[in-house]
Amino acid sequence: MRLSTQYQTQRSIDSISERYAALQRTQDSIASGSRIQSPSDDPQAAANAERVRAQLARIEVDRRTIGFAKTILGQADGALSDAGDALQASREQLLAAGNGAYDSSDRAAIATQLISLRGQLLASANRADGSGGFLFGGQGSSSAPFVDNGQVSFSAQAGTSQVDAELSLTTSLDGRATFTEIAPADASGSNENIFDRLQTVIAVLRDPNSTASALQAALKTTTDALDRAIDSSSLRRTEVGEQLRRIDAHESALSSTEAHSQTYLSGLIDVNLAQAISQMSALQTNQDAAMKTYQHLSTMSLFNYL
Amino acid sequence: MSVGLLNSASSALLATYAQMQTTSHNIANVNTPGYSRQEVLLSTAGASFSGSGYVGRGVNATDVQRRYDQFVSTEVVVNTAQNAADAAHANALSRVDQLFADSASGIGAAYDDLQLALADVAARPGDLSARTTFLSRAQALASVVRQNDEQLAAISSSIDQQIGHAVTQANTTLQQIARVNNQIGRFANTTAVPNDLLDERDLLLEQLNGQIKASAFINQDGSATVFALSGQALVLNDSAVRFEIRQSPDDASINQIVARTGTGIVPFEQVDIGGGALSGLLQARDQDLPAIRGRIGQIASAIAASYNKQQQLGVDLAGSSGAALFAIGAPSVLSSPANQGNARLSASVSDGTQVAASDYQIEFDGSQYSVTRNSDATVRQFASIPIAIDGLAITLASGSVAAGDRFSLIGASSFASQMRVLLTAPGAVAAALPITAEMAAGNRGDVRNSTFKIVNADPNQSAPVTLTFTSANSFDVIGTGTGNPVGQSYQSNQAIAFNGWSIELNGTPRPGDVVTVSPNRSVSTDNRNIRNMAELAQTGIVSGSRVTDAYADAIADVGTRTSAAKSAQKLSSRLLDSATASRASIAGVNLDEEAAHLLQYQQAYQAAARVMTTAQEMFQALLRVTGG
Repeated sequence: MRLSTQYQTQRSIDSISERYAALQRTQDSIASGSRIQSPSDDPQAAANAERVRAQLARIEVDRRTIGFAKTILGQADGALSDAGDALQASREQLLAAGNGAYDSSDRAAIATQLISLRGQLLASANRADGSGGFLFGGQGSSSAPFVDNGQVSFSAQAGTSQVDAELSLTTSLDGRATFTEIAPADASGSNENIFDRLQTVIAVLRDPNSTASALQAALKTTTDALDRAIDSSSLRRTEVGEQLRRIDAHESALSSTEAHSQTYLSGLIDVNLAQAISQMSALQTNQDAAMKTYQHLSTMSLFNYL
Repeated sequence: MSVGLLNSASSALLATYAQMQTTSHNIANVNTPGYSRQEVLLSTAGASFSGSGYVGRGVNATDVQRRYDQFVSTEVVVNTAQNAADAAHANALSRVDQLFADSASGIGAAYDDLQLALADVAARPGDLSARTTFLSRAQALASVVRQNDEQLAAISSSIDQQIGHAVTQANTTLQQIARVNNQIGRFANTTAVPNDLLDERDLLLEQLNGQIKASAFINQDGSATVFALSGQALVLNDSAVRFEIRQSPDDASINQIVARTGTGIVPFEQVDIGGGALSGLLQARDQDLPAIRGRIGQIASAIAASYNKQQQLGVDLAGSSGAALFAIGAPSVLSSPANQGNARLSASVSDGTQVAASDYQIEFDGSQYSVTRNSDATVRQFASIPIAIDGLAITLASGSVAAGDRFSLIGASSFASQMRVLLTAPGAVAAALPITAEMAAGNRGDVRNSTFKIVNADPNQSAPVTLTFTSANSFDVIGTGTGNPVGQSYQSNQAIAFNGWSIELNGTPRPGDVVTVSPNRSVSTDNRNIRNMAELAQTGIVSGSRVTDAYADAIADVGTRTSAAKSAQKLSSRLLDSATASRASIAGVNLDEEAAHLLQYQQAYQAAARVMTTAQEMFQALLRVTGG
């Protein structure tokens, strides 16, 4: 084929600059570590990378939410444990008060103990969660949910608050069901308010004129109520523990999803360095050869011999 | 006898001199764009009869011709038009492509940041700093959406400038073709062909095709008539049309290309332009950019509609119904000035989650309205107005429509530019629900409330409602708006809905147990509505797709459009290259070849000169013999 001098020169320059552009692209992807510089490099991979990025962001949101729930539930577990201790100690005081050898001053001393234990129990029930809420705040409360006017009432709305639709983690427990409306053991009974029960027995213990039978009756009813309150709080602790277990399982599921997503994302966008570097050196050799032959060709002319 | 010899030798000297001059012309023009190498056509000068037969009289240089192939040159012109269109299209889209390159600063990332803030409000609904962060993230999202759209609009207006330059260049080239036509015309009555002028005109036609597709028809007198793809003559003899840019009569925001001819104004749509940079620029401006802006507008519309609706179902810190969170642009309808009727149409969004990523054309044929969705060219017929289509409502604002009237509806593509956040006070975030369910004190069963939802607004929404169980599987209802039904059947986890709310209870009730639904007393700590809002990220609010997927689809769309344009450019550049190579192999100057010719003609010249000196010597010899 006949070649025109101008075309030959232009063609050589074009191919050198094309190769230079290819070198530049390869260099860019090696430098950035990503084989996708813009969506047009691989539209489907770019779209999938965006989905994976969103999924990783979603994992971050989940972590934040369950991290919050974990803190609250951990505190609730502590509060329930403290409440359980106060209830157990109260029960032991009541057993001691049943001792026939005790006189009214002994019983008054026990009443003082019980007042203090009742106070501890109320403090546990009203414990704040450190985030502006209360651990037993029901559907939420901005002030302490249990109000003590001699009788203790639950001022918040009964129920629970939750976060995370999927796991439905409790961030505020139903204080009413735990302390002031403890469900009866059987269908015939009625709900129990443990604070008011304690208040009643304290009054009986402090009254020097209480009859032995009234005392025994009060001790019996209150011990029964304490047993139910202990059951109720340990049931709550089990529920809390169950949620904490779910959180741990979910956290490890999140970690594994995150690892998979990262691997997938890296497969989508990461540059294969070995391949890119060998391509780079092939392009360089090529470019070098093209420039040398161009230099050689451009000096070749019949006019040199005239 | 020696006179014949001298004549023949001098004809050879003249012809060879012409050849050497042509060779020199070729060498001089080795780098001249559009130059076709020339060569001298030789023929023998005939012969004279002598006793011993016909004796040749020498050589004549009959013509100087350019090496030119009509077919190959046409190939170059056609491929130039295609390649210029593809290159302009690919360049414009590459800029769009770059806008979507950084996924970490895109709409998707801003939306995910908002989700993180939502989770914080859900955790601490009463915390003003969490609410403030949520509002500022919402503002960041709105501003990323707006900026994205502004950048697309900026690309669109820079394309408009490029169109202006291309039009100016096309006009200059058309003028030049007309001038060369005129110069060539002067040679009409001679037999000689002005090769260099023909080359210049061919080059001008090629340059013209860099802006707009055009072909030339060569007339008897040598002048070329240049036609656009539409058949419109652009150059006739020595007069050329002039391209101008004016506002489109259908949409004042769009600049339209028109040709001013001797008799009037002819609009040039992209199909009439057919090739050259103008075609690629128009395609990017009128098809790709509105489609991509439509996708962004569609996402903005779905976000605004869904989050605003969720806000309105909830209550803010003051217990008032939530106000709209986002504002976006509104659709508009333009009437064609050619309309016979005086109707003004208006459009509004009826369901922002169903809006399509498209603008529309509306045409009335006398009995029916045809609505064409630009994005996929689907046409739907409507017998009357108001028209409901893709979450939009089109109504007749005033006047009446006449047959043939046309309207254009600017929809989703105009939404994103106006996206902003309406709320400033952190307390205005409607994190709570206005009502709640509570188990009455003294309930003996273990019925609990598992789900509480507000489905829609209702005038009796806040009316207290009491559900009283009459057995483990039935209950009576009392409350305004419920109709006080009795003997309703109860099943665990089955929705019970009245007055726009819906609850699910689980557990086993005992007769006499009561569930009340009444105004929420703890709005500052309630997170139920903000949790519903957080759920929107996992819901198909953008015409059935999640926001994440809709944005990923937009990225794929931009990427696919750009990579298709780049591939088309690569292909047409290869075709142009091969046509250019073919032409160069025929018409281009090769210096080695010219050097060889130079040697060849030099030798011929020297030989002819030798013949002359030989003739001279022969004559001298003869004189010596005869003269003594």
